[in-house]
Amino acid sequence: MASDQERDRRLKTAKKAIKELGHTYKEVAATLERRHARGVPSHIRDCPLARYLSDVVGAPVWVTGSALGVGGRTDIASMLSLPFHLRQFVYLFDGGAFPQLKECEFFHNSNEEIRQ
Amino acid sequence: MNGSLEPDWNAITQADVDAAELGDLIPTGTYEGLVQSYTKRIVEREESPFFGLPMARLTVDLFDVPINDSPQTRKYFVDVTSAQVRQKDGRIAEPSRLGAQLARHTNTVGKPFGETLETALVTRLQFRVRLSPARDRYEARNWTDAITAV
Repeated sequence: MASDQERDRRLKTAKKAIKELGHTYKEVAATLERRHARGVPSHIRDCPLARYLSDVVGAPVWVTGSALGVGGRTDIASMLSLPFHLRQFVYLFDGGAFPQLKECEFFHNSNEEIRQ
Repeated sequence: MNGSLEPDWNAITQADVDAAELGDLIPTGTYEGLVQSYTKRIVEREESPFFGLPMARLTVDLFDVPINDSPQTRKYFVDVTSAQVRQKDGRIAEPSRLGAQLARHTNTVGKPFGETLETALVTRLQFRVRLSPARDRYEARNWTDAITAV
């Protein structure tokens, strides 16, 4: 588990990155597209938002429909509540919106194989 | 006066009983949850309709559970199985129904159930939980009515 200082640094970085994504779900989608973030719908670690934030923060980030966590999944102190427009983005992306952010099936399977 | 040894002064109120019974239970509602882990076992209770069949127990963190008017994260346990078993009344038993819903919402229908469980660990899910109060000889308890996508 990360030290308190490291946890604070990660959370600050995540908060800053979230602000820079935009103020509406459309702005978030556009920003992720510009920054070439792609991902898998409904996936807490491999959705575009989680991948982008993981890259920025420098640690694994997981995203649920209402919260995000940095680092360990059981580390509740490293969780942030998702702003409403990000919840909207997650909900819409999982439902099939923003197909340009969706990683193609072939690519996802390849990643799975590489991890194994 | 607290702590008295006089029995009449230490009566347990109905509110105390209710609080004790409902203390660890989740209020009825739909909550987003993160499956943290699962364990597998073969059901050994002979009176269970799942006797001899495999069962998985999901350990789930439910978010924003209203406890004393403040949202909290609470641990919750859900039994799921790939074995499709019907109850005496003909309805599909809860763990079977939840197993099927889990496969559906993790896009693993037709794949080994182990894959369903693994995928559940990384999938955004919601849990519809019902609290049934104590009645007659039955204790208060939680039921999981459904597992759905967020």
